[in-house]
Amino acid sequence: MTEALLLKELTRTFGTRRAVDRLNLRVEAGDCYGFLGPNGAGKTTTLRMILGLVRPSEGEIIVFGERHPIARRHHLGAVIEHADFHSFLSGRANLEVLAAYDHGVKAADIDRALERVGLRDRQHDHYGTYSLGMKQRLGIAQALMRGPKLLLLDEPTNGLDPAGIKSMRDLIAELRHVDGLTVFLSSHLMHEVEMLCNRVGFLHRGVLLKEGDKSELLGAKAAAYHELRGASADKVRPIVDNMAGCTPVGVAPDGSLRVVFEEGIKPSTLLAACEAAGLDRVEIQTERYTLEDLFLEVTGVQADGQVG
Amino acid sequence: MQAALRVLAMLNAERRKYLTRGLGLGVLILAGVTGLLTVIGMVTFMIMRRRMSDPECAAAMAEHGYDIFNLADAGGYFVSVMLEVPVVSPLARLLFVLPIVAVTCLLFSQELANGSLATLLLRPVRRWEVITSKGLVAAMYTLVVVALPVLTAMLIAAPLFGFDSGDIPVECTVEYLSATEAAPIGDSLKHHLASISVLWFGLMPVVSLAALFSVVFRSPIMGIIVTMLAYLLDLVVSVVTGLVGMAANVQVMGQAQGGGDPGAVGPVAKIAHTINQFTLHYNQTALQNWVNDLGQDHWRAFAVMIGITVLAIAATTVIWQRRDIT
Repeated sequence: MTEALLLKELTRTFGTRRAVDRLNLRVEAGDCYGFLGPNGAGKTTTLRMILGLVRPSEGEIIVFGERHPIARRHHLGAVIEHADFHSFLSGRANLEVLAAYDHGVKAADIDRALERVGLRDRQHDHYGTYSLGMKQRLGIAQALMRGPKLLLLDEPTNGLDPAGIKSMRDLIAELRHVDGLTVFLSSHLMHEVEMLCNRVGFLHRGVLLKEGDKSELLGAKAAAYHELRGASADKVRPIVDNMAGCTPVGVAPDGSLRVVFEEGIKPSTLLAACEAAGLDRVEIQTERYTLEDLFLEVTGVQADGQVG
Repeated sequence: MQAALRVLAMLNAERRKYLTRGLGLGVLILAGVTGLLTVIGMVTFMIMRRRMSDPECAAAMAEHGYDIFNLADAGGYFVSVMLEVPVVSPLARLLFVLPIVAVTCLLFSQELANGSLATLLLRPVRRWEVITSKGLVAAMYTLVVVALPVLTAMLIAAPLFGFDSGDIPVECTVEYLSATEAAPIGDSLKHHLASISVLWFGLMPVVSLAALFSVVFRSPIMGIIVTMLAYLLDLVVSVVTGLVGMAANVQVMGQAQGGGDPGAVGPVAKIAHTINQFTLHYNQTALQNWVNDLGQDHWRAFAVMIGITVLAIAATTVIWQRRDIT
């Protein structure tokens, strides 16, 4: 497969702080890569380095075989956080002034981009009158008008209402599947990435902790786990520790202990043990392993935002 | 050809972003106001000049206590300079400077401040191309702001006083400056175009410093404040040192006529004059005087102007090229 994006030992230091630390990453053409990490993990800095807005301290960035920042941008379209435009200009005029700096972008390309994001009817309205969702769509339009092969999106659904989120998600999926774009999606919204991406990478404190095919990563944890609700993890853990074939795998955000059972061990055995220990209100809930669970486990970040 | 079209497209893009209808209307109002001020300044200048070149008038003025200016020796020039240069001209120039500084600061740092620069730099464009187009738009805008009031002044003066008749020769040219006749329109226009050119050139250090300050502070407002404070400081230093120098010279002239030791005030005038020579305002005036054929040393003025402009542009470009867009 063609390599759309390749990062080699990419590092950026601000003073003594390493915002991005020897990042190695590969995105194949046609992928939708979910770049996950908590706030301040270094996701936006990485994107800005790919786009040539921030200079790397070390390392290499290759986009469709191009190393020079200007050459890289010929293949790229991007929306960084929220794309800012001039509020007193119309949506179309904003794209036109950007097109003046873009080699070969014609009026027809602007028309096509506006059509693609569904802003054709409102193209002559002032940008200042746009809703947040429309502003985000215009951001996508400016990224699309030059016909990129790789689309970099940084938190594209931030601040959108549920309808806006769904609409944006559908658009991204269409751009990948219908238009054939490679998408690099930076986000801290696990659900969004899980729905859209086929590959994921977890960045924490500038370090890529884990990356790979989403189904493979989740596949390793495919077996459902069980949450012991109705009692705190501290109270239940001694019972679990004394029970053969039952292993604790973590603690849920609400403080419940998560366990997995070996084959042949029935959850009802554990319930009986709990009742015998006086914990008669314990219930067992079977859960599916999600990207969020994997993220929390990999980054060591607790549900309350604290690092474990 | 393709490169030229591309440059034009970028210039047009910058114009569309910053030179809005409201700003255009503001410039037209400003042109009217400064045009009127210029006419008033010119009329004042010419009345003073005419009176002082008239021996009877000079004698009459001397009777009323103007003898210390030694009007005959100074050719009456001193009084007109006292009125025209430090008072009318700086105020009029301030009106030119404020919108120019504001637009320059907007051009260079508005996008940096509101985050839209990142969106612009996602295109395959080199940063120096962006800053060059911004610089060219600032220079062209300055030319419009400078040219409009001067040409407005000319248009206002023509129906009021005429070009080749009338008592007060408002439209005065290089050749006719010391005379009391009116000037033909061709000479007048030539003189005005020369004035516009040196005025524009004299504002380039202000434009380049405004660009530098706004880029350093990443804020158009801070850029405007710092540039205007620097400009006012320069103006105050120039006027004060100019007046000190003049006062000292007047004293020397008085002493030369009435006795006393002129060396007593010599060093003060010298120090004041040396400081004054390096102020922007002095050099702007020097260039204007050069066009008016008043014999001021223009090469030093050119050198100071070019020096400030080149240094400011170089610093702005380096910062612009190297800065991370975060």
